[in-house]
Amino acid sequence: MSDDQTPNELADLVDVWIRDRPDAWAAAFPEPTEAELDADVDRVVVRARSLADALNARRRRRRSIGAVVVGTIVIVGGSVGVAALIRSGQPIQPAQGIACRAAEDPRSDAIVIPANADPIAACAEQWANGTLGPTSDVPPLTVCIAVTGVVEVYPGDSEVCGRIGLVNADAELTPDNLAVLALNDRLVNEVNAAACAAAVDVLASAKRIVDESGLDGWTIAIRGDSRDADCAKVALDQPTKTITVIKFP
Amino acid sequence: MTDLRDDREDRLRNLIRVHGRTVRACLARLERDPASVDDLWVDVFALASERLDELAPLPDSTQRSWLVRTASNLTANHARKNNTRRKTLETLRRDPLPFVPSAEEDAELRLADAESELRSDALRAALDMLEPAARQVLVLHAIGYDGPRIAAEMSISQAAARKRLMRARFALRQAYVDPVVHENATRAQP
Repeated sequence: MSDDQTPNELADLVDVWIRDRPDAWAAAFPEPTEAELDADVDRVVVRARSLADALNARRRRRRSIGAVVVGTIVIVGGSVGVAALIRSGQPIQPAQGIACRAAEDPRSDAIVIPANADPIAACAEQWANGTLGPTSDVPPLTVCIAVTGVVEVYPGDSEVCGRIGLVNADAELTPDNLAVLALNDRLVNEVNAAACAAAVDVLASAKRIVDESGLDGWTIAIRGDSRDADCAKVALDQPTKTITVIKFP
Repeated sequence: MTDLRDDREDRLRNLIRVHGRTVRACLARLERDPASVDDLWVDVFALASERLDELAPLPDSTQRSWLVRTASNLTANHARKNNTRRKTLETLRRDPLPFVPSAEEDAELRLADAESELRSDALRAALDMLEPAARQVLVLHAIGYDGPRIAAEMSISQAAARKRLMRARFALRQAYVDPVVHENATRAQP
């Protein structure tokens, strides 16, 4: 290279030089903040855990009731994973529904019920109905936050969460989490449980609902492969504050 | 148990801090859909976390090489056919890529480096002298981002992205041809 290279020649040369050197690529994006790093680590931990669990998943008997439509789409869509928050008593996925566990074991059978603000009462009802075991006696129940950031209710005393490596849930949801629950309810009722609508119409509905919720900082977008879908639903991911419009089924 | 978990998370966090952006750039070169890039990025580091005990003690350059090759492998299959991604992921879990590139790959890399060593040092020094935003736009362009993608990534208009690229190229040329003049000009800016 010499001083008499034209600007275009130099530009081309720089492009090639950068393309050949992965050690220069990091400059393409701003350095992550500590909070972004936290979220990234949590997502990777959960993903690694789900990969490890995948082989066992088919063997586990899982019963599921209710209509946690958003949660189902998140799982099916796969593009917006859940994130772990094993350091807090607040769920980061309060809208994901509640898992009522049948035993003091994170891998025990579970009945998934729609999210609500009183998980113990909701799961006690399942126990009383006899759907969680051979008896209709309701054992002491404790609310834990799973590694995936969702709410799980276990039979056992207040120490059960710690014994199985989880964290006791806070007694009450924060206002933000309550607001997300309300947002989720509206999305389920007004979009996912409603008749099919085109992706662009679902996007407009989701934007309106988010605007009306008063929540800030949420991103609503149509997933790349779903732009022309005649029937679309939404998936909510609280950690990234993202609502994704996804073709359905 | 908590200490072990914290230690693993710390090591994973450091790996992501050092190489997260490089892996994202690698994936973004081949995959345009941001949601897919994000999914693939998580997959690459999930694979890395499974080999964290072996990966963490290695030099940064070896870590980067492994992560980039793993990302490329995963992306190539993802681009070919979406449903092979899971198969590729499983294959890479069962049979991970070696940490050290093959002899052929290594020879090619060393040849390329030797041929352009002098030029490379000068270019790297010139790039390092630029403002982060100027460096960013040059790297984004080099890894294949077009105007609209650059604008979206940097949250600016397309016209502003074009202008920023033009200015960055000018600044790079100045920094390359006459680093002293460039440095003085940069200092003189308010």
